[in-house]
Amino acid sequence: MTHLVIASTEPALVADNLSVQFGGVRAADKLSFSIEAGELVGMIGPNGAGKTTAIRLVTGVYKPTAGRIRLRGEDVTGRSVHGRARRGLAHTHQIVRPFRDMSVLDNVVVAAGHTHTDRPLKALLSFRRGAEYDRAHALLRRLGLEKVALRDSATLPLGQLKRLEMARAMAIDPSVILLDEPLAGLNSFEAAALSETIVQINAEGMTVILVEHNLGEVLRVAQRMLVLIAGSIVGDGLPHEVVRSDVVRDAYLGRDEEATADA
Amino acid sequence: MLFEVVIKSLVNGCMYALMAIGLTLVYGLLRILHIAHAALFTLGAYAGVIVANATGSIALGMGAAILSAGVAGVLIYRFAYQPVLKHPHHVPLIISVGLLIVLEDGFRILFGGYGITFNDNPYNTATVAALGITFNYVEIAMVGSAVVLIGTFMAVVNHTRIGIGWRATVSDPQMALSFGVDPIRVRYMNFLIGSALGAIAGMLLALMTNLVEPAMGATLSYKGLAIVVLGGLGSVRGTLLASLMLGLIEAMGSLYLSDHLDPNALGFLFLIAVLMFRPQGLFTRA
Amino acid sequence: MNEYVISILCIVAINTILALGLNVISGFCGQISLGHAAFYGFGAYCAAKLALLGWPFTATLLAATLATGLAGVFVGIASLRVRFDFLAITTIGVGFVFVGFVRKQKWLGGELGLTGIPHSGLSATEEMMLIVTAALLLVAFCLYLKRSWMGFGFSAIARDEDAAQTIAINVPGFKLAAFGIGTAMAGFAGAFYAYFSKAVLPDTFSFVQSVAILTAVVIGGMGSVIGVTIAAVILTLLPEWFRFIADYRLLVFGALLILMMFFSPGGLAGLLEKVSGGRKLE
Repeated sequence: MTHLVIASTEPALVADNLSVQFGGVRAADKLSFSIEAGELVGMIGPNGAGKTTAIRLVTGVYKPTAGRIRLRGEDVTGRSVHGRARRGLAHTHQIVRPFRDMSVLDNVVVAAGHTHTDRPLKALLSFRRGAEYDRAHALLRRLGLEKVALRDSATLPLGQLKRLEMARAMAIDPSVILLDEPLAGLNSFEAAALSETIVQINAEGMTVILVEHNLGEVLRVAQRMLVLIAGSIVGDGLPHEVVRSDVVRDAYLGRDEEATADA
Repeated sequence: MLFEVVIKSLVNGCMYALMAIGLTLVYGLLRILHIAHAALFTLGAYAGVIVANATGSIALGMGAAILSAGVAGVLIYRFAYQPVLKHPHHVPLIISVGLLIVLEDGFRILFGGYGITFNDNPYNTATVAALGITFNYVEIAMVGSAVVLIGTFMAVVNHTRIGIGWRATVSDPQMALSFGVDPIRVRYMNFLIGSALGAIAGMLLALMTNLVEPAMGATLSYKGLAIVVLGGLGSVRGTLLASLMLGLIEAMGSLYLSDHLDPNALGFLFLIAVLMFRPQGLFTRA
Repeated sequence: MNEYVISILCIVAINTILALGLNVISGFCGQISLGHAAFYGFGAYCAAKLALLGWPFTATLLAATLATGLAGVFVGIASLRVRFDFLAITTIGVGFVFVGFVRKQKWLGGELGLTGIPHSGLSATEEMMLIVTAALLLVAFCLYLKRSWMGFGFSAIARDEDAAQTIAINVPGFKLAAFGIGTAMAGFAGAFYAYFSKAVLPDTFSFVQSVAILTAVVIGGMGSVIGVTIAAVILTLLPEWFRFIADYRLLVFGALLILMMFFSPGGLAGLLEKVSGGRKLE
């Protein structure tokens, strides 16, 4: 997928009144937000606020009962997960999912080969991987995984697995990356290092949505903050202002004690 | 005629239920498709016939059936499944298939491919008439056993401490452990009860047809799988309903479709159709 | 070369092709299929019927292979709806529905099957060379497939199909391709079998046959082309070399499955990998 650098007037990602219901619970209720190209947006919310649902609606794991999703202006609401990935939406998993019994390098190469993995017949007829290997190596260098490139991904510690998730996501040449709690489970050094990397990636032009529980880091790096409570966005603005608003304080400090311990 | 077919289908349905409970118990607990379960059905029947012929008492035969299958079931868990629980998914599945094949061929080698019969079986000829239909004693026993045994089992599961402990182990083994429930013991009980129920079904079928042969459990086992999936893997109630449903579908199929499709395949056809529309089975909550 | 050797080579080649096909579906792409014999049967019945209608040998082989591949893609749709255990049971079901259907159809010969299948036009030796060459070509094809981007995609799907979707792999398309290719191979083997044995019966394509094919794949090592080929050859020849095993064929197969799963879940290929210090057997 070649990169066309055209100044686009379309926002990178738009969620337009997404709603979804499970049993009797409205997990997403007219969820709406709009993210411009190149932004680094944080998304926070207490436990049970619907962050996972929101992520799954955006990536395509859940289909909404109402509402639409637009990726660079194109309506992708009906598209499958892999369809959206192919159109530029990458995402990392909160609980890492490396391809086990496969090298770290291969994990990234298979993602880098995304132009080959669309049509099966085309995939059968192609086998050259030189370009993909080069791209994968470059990505591994950026994320500090060069030294473990040939190791079985299943043997890596969590910090490196989180970086592998990111390398793999970046390998598909996305325009937007959705990071699902990438800092969870990392110690403060690892978390700081990883968020630095996230800032760098964003500085190069990548639109980043950072869904995080670790308020400290999100406040530090995000340019804008969305607050998700009970399936809707209730706060949208500069991180330090949003965090001080009443609605957010209520949700985090008032009813949800767990979030306080984290923040 | 139709009425008789429907009522008689209950007999098959009950047999399937007695068989399938064992499968669903194991799946609910361990997420393993206990394909080898069919062999325990057959084992029970063989043990029952041999002991009945040796002692002249069918009751003793039934006891032997229950005991041998129960013990075998527990041994299978302990030596075939427990060691491989941590392995990837297909390993216990393939072991189970291997076990079924080994046991079935074992029966054939030990007891001959043509099967053995009871020396003296008064039950499959004795009949009783009701509702204008002739029932033989064994058919009634099949339905009766299913009702009594499964009913008791469900009552125990839902209303006693042991039952609650069992349900806890199924949904959250760690939690159950911290409440003092021993998951290993629960598993042994599962296999014991499931296998025993299967053996009872096997013995009753043997009494009904007056024949025990190596492959008698095979088709049943595969149907059992279809039932367990339809009923929602791990749900006892769903399994029951699906068993009765299968009995009915097969009876209907025998009546109307037997020129086009073997009734044995009907269950699977139905299953495939259902799964395509409702991948989670008929009776599970989505 | 005497008749017996020719015959054995044919059967070895057929079994190898069957195992390789299942290896593509289950070994490469991780989609468990316990009904592979149904596709073997589908190809055999197609070829038998067409041959009895007067179609020439080559056309029959091609048509049967293609038709089976299409049927396989259709069944593969099940893998888009259900996974793992549910897929296992569905594929068992497909096997039973196939046999349950053909044994009742008069136009397919019912319980007695189709007999009197016309001669292929080739001599016995030529037939044998055809199927052995086909088997060897398919081994090469599978080795290539494994190294292609399709094979690479399969390996990701086999490990984690949801994660594979997030990196833009067309998971549904690839799964259907796996089924299509694997079943077409089975169909080809079945078509050849029809001419080879001159008769096609329902019981040949039972669940037990599916298990036998699975045994070869498991013993060889799921995903290993060479391993599966070796296993298929050995498992076919074993009952021939040791006559007494023929009587206990099922017992031996079952025992092998169990033992292999306990000692080396990766099959022969896994064993060799451990022994050679990490070098994989393709």
